[in-house]
Amino acid sequence: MKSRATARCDEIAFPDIPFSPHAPRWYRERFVSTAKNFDILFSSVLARAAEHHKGIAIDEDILGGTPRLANTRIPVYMILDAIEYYGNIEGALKSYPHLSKEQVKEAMSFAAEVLEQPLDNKSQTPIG
Amino acid sequence: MTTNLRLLLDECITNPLAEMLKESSAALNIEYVREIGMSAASDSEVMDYANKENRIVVTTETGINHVKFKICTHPGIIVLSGKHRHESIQAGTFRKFILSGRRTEACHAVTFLTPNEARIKTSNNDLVPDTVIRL
Repeated sequence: MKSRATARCDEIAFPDIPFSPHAPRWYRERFVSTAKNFDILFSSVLARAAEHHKGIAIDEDILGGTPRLANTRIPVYMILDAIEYYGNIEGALKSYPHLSKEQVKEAMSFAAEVLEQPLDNKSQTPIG
Repeated sequence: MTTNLRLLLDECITNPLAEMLKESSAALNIEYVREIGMSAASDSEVMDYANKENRIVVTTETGINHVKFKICTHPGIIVLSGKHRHESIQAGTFRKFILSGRRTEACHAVTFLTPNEARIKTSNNDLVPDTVIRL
């Protein structure tokens, strides 16, 4: 536990760059709404998000591990493409009429959780 | 000599695109993964079926490509790639390729279709140049 005086010294050392990778973790985490793990690999981010979304699956043998809607061969990115093109969820249902609105929302929610993850440019290994 | 292409559309191909392709040309003989009960099948199972039925797999940018499935071990793969993946754009691209007069070059090869070109890989040897067809 840092004393108030020590904390003040660190604020002076990292005055306007709370997200600097050079700042200590405890200092960075003071400026985000929820505690984030800055050192997590992208594959782990996908796996954790998939755990939170039962409608999403990731299997190395199916679509080469691309995140997809469970029990289908439809990748999440194709759902987002359809929404981008049509401008709404109903558009995705035009592209894939056998899906439900809940499945489309699940894909969006999964993507949102993945994109919520911040990257620490210093410690993060290259994505891909 | 027939110039018909026997295609197997992956489930990631959208329904409107599948319908457009079915109606676009008598030169296409099409099956759709979803309609033959292979939803959620593995990549290998899809390729095995395509081999058995002598069909070229049409998919988007996924794990089905020349890296995972070596050229000449299957009837062919067509990958709809590029930034614009919407069905109306992809259907136009596909139609241009079919009408290019060189569609049979997609057999026993891996073809990457973008709105501007068809890039056909005929060998896993990097020294063999790709065939590029401007669309």
